[in-house]
Amino acid sequence: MQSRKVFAVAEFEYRTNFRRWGYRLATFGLPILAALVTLGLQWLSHRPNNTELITVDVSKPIGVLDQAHFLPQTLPEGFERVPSLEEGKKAVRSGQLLAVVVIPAGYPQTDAPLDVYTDTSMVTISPVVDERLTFLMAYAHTAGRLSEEELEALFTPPDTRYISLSSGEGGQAQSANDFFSSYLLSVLYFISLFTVTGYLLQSVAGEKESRIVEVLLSSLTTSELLAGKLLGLGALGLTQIAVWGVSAVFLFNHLAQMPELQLSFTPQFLAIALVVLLAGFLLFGILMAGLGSLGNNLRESQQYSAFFSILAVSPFMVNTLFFLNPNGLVPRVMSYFPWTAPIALLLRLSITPLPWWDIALSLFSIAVGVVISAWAGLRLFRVGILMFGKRPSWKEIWHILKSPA
Amino acid sequence: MTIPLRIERLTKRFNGFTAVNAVSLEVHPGEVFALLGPNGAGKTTTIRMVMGILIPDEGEVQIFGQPPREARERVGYLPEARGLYRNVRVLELLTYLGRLKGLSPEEAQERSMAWLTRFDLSAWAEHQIHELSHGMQQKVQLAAALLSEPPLVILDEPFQGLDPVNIQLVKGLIRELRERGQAILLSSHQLHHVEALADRVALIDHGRIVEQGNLADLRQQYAQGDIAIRLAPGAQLPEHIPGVARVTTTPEGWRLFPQPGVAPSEILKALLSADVPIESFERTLPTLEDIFLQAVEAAHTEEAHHAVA
Repeated sequence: MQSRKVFAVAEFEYRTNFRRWGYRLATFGLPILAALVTLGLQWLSHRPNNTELITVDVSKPIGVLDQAHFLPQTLPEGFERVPSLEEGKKAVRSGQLLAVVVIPAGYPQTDAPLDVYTDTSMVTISPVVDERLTFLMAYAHTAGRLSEEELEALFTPPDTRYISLSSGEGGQAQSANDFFSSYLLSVLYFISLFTVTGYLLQSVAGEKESRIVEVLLSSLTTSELLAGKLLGLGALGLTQIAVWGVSAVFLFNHLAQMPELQLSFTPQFLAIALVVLLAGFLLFGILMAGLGSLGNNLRESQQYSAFFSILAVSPFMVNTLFFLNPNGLVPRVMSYFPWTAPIALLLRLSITPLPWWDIALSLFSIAVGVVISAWAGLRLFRVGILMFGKRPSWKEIWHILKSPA
Repeated sequence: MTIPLRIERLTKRFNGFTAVNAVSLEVHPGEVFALLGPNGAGKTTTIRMVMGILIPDEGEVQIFGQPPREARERVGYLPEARGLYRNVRVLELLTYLGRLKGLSPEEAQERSMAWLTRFDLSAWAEHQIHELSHGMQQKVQLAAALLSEPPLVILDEPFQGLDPVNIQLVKGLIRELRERGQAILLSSHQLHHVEALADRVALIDHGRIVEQGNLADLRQQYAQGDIAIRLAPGAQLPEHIPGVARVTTTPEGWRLFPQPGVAPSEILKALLSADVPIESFERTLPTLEDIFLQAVEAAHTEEAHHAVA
């Protein structure tokens, strides 16, 4: 294999694809758009009386209509009595109250629920309202025995630190920030992987459709052509991830002014992510090129590659199972199966620390997958790229794979 | 001196169908060798094996004594199925293809510009391929094949899709390459375009070479000895001409078919002695198409004999 030819192909692929309007828009346009939206929201939220354009102000008092005479005379901070339900509803509509709660006659002996009247989505405010009502009821039950401050202390959760047994002695479990950072990187990786392998598929199908492939193959071998494409488009994917990664860190850590949401990556996660990113690109890239070469045009090529695209995306399709238990059967199986492992491993790692052997097993399966993809992809590419006019059946594809190289 | 191209008993089969059957030929420096035959005769498959794009089932290809894959940089190739990247600039594309042929980026760019200037396309260098007309794209493809000044040039159906002006341009270019000592293998099913260009030809039919040799020799070999004659306006041929077996009319005049063993000079002498006002008298040589048809027929007859035997 002549490296200067491989680099010439890589440089050409990088340059021509970098010029694509879609690539530039996705790579640079998205971060710019995200920054503009962030700045816009900040500007809006810093203007007086504009807070509710963006969020619901859950700090507003809750009105109480106590038909049971259950509550003590003095209510804790954040609650106000309303003279009637109609008056309470009016106050909610005018934005003075977050909600009105009706304590039914006979409470707490009755089974009747507490009606909460609100003008806001229940999904948005119910956790806050429920938490504050729990506090109110506790206040009522312990009236005269516990001060509001003592009760407040009881309701304030202690400082905790979760230690993961999976990550070895003393390994700290994921914080919300760790999870958010890693999950965001996984999503960006997934988008970039399929953007770039999509370009690879288009490049192969386009060269075959336009027939320029014959000119190319009169100057270099199929291996040189494929290696150049993988190198060039791999670099294109890394550029995209790097731009997105740096932009995301700048956006969340500097621009957004959200101290509770800071991006941070452990060196271990970054190292694994880089290995998975490169291996994942090889895993799908070679296969996409091989399958892409079988079609006579992009549409046909996409039909061949659709199966592996779905396979790759499947961990995201069942991500609820990952959140319920990242070490459950399905997440584990997916992280040990080569064509689901890249995304599955990153998803699991973003939710919980994993023992080294678990990570190693997953990386090993990806490595095995790369070898199988390279073997099959190169065979298909060699034959498919010069197969004009006829679309091979799956049976013929199997014959290509079985026939000697 | 190493022969630019030597093919020996090259054979390729696809699912039991023999596309190329024991083809052998040689192309020498400063020679235009034409591989001729109808569509589907096996020309492109032969060329693809020469280029190392297809692997032969049997036989061998040597380019300057090397296997095709090792001699890629010494061959310029214009494939039959032509295409270019649509959204790439002309100069950028040529430079890229030049680099794949082993040129440095600077050298590739310099030569690309020179070819574009020669083809009157320099103003289009920074335009994208899709902005070019069909004819312009054909010229870019030809420039790509010749960019590296390869000692062996392979042109598969070079006249296909060209207008008469560009056909003359390509013919002129082929002659120029020959004068520079480059070896040229061209394939075509348009035999009339090749007649004035080729030094040697191989006629291929159903994957098999049915005739091969120097074009002038083949013309003599396949000549039927007939004579084309034109007379002064209003003049008529005598009813009986000594030594002539048959006479047919043609748009320009008559065709005379001599009896076996009779030389054209004897017929001319007889006509002159009869005071026939002759304007032109020449022995007709077969066209490439005539030769091809005769050679194919002879091959089929021979095949039939073998089958009976």
